[in-house]
Amino acid sequence: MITIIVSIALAVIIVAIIIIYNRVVTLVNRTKEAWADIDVQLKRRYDLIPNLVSTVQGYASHEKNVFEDVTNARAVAMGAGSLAEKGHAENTLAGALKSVFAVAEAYPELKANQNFLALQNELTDTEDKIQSARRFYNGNVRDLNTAIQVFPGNIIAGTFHFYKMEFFQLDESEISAGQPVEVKF
Amino acid sequence: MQTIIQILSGNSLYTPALTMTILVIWVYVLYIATRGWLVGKSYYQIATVAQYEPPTNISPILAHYLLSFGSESKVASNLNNTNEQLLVLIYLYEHGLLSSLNISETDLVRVEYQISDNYISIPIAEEGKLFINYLVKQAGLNGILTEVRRGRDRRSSGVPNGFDVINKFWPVYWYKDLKTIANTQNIVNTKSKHYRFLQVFSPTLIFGSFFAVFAFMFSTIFTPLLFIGLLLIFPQVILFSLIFFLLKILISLGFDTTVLQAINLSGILSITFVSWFVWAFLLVISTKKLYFQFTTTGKTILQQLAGYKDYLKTVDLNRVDIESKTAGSKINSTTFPWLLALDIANYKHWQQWRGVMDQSTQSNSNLLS
Repeated sequence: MITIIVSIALAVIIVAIIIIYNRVVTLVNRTKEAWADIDVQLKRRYDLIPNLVSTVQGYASHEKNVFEDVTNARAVAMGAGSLAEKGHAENTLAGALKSVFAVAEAYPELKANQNFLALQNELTDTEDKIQSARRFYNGNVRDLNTAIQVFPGNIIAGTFHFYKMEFFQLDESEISAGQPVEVKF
Repeated sequence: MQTIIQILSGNSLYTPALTMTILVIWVYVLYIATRGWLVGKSYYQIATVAQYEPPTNISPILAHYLLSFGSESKVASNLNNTNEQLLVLIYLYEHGLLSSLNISETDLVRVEYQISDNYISIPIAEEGKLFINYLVKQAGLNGILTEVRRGRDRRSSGVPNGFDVINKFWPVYWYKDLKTIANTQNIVNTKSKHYRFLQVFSPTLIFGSFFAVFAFMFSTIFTPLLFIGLLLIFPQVILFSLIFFLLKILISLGFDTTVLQAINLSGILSITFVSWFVWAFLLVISTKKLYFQFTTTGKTILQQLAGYKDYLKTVDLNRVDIESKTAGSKINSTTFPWLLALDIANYKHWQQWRGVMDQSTQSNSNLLS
């Protein structure tokens, strides 16, 4: 009788371990996939920036500092390692982009330029997607971190070396290519 | 010729023929069940790619219809659904076809509506146009819709039954018109060969097989009772006859009769009889899924819907903003009809949406004054 009870208990424990392990693996993969989507959108933004700079430069070539800031911020963002660094670099880049659009506000011809408008729309769309992708990523990270912190998930996570993942923090107020920019003269 | 007549007139092969018939039926049921199971797998569970926006080419009404596709074989008393009707009304309100919409719920759901004067000129999906035309025809440009309960109290039964006026045209609208629209837009193909086949075969399969088994339980050998039972189930009769003649031919060609006659019919019957309801259930579920064969476009839309629902649920539904015609588009926002269409609207969303509506009414009053 004792053997049967022990066998059933063992079977239940093994099944529970399998279920929790599979759930954590699923969450890890979902989180990685969500990050990949952010990465795609960030790369799309990096690709758009040189075009934007060259378009604006055609009208406001003397705003050298602004263009240098954007170019540097882009380079830093592309080379950022950790998520915290990446988040910080992206915020800086967003701020620099905001300056470019502020410059554009002072040039009516540039604002009417079809190429510039198309780039602005593209950037706005990309930034919206980055925000959505970031929220989805953070949602998955939240689920994953919860799963590996609660009992008995924490034991399984410790045994199989699953670790918490970092949230990707961006300052949403900085992301505003499509929004009106306040310009002071 | 005389030999053939002698062979066909003998009844020694009825038992193996009936056994074979039942086996073939079960194989078919298993096949249908597998197909139905694969439908679910390929349409919903693989579609895990998050979508940040709903599909642009369909309305929440059609989306909800497609998502509930295959679960629509409701009993007659439950053809109408308050929630689905509210979804349509709210969708129309959000697109400006209704100038006011006031929903209150006590023991009944009560809706006061006013259709916009210029509703004809407002661009909207075909399913929206159809519905509002029905509504105008039935009840005019404004009115009060009250939910109709049938039988037990709705709260205790949990079965909403729709609004009185809408119920008059709802079955035609939801079960016929939307199917036509889905077909026209190449989202589904209701002319599926599976469906046509099942349409003829399934009802008699379920009833007929049961009858045949039941009849056989009360007969030790081929009897008129079993024969009558088989007459009632025409497809099975054809199948039985085909197998019967096939066996006769095999025997006439020299196959060993003892092998065929050794088939333990009673053993098979006892197993199938016990498991009958399980199989019938599987068949009904599978038939529902196979009823609508989604086209490539339809599958893509379903995957987008699943991805969008996945996104909304993952980002924390309680933090999703309700975007309304009175508010600007915001990141991480969606329209209330989409939450209803995806069956994820909770009490908080209803409250939020009502709040937006109240603000809208208030601002309209201020404008008028």
